[in-house]
Amino acid sequence: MTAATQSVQSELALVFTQDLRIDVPAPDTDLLATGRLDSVRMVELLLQLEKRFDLRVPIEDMEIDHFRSLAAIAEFIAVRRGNGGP
Amino acid sequence: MTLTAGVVRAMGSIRPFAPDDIPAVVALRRKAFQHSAHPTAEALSDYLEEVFFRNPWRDAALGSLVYVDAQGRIVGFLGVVPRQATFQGQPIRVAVGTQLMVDRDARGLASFELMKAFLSGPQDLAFSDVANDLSRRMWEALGGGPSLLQSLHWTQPLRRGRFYTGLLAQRLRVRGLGWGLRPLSWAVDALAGGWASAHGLEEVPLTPTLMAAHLPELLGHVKLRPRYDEGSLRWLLDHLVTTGRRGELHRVAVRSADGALAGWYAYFDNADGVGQVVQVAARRDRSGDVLHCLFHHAWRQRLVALAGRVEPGLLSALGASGALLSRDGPWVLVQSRRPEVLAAVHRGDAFLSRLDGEWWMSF
Repeated sequence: MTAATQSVQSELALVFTQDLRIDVPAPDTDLLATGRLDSVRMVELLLQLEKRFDLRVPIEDMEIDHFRSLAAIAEFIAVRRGNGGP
Repeated sequence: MTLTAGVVRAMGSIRPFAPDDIPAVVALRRKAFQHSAHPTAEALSDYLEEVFFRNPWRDAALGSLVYVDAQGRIVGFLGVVPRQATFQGQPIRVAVGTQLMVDRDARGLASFELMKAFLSGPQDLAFSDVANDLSRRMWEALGGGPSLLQSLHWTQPLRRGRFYTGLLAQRLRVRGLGWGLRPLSWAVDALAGGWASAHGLEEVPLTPTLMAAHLPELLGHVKLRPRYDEGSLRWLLDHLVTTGRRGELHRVAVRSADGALAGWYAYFDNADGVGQVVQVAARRDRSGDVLHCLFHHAWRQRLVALAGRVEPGLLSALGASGALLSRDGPWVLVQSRRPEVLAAVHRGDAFLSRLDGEWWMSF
């Protein structure tokens, strides 16, 4: 994980706890299988990504797997910003 | 909403809504919504079949969707009705989204996935005109959003005494105040007189034939407008009055003395005193005349007021007549992958009336 991805992941953890009020035990916790991310919270997450990270996700890029875990979302954001990768 | 951390949820899938799914969707709707315009499951079933499988604009690529869980049960539904329109004279496909519902025991990402599938469809414009705040946020997250101008609603008082005393009683929440002030409000309305008739204009019945033939010339200056044909309009107008829950539908065309069509209007004469306007179409320079005829007609029906959704072409005439504007009704939501289509909607260069969205449907 790059430093940029690590930084995004830390900020994202705050979004989950403060804005979405979702407790995420670990970066690789499956948010979908555990029922932590439902439709309403998914909408709020996308709106927060736009607000906090200036990231508007086009509908064609909204693959559910990008949002499966905190680590996956952080990776997705970093890649979209052009500073992800190994 | 309670999170059930630790419970592993299997993902579902989305597929097109088929006639065999109707009983499951009827059951889902009766579980999701307390109220229905249809008294029995059979009546609702017939209505769903009529609206989604027998509408005159059926298009396999723009069909309704169901969400099926891992056990094969239908736990979500999003209705889609295709409509035809033109943009700068060229045909475009409009998809009207309606009745998004998900089983409360199986929510997960079903409603988000259904909406995403709908908004990813091949339509040129996705449209919804009876949307709540939650739907608005969902559309915004998925790249759509409200058309602010067309999300405004207008109310034209026709009997100001009764209208404002009714409004006062409603705001103050004082039971009996409206009745108590009734003699005064009636006296005020009697002194104020009626809504004068428009001189030199003739009113004739509005038929689907007339609407289909004349919409292009009436709205020739509007970039985005519906494309009507007689058969689909006949079906639409029949269904508009089927349930009869909104009162009697009045459909009137307005002509000049020389026979030239100035425009038309359609509205429900509602028993509670406030009529609901379905559509007003007028030549660019005649919108004031057509509105005047509408208000006079509704006044003669003894209505206290008329209400409708703002059509950009009517805005200045509504202002001149003293109509009240508000932003407290449902949202009009739009989404398109074509920026020029969206720009036309947001600029007010679009005609998308209650007849062209989901407002006319009665589930």
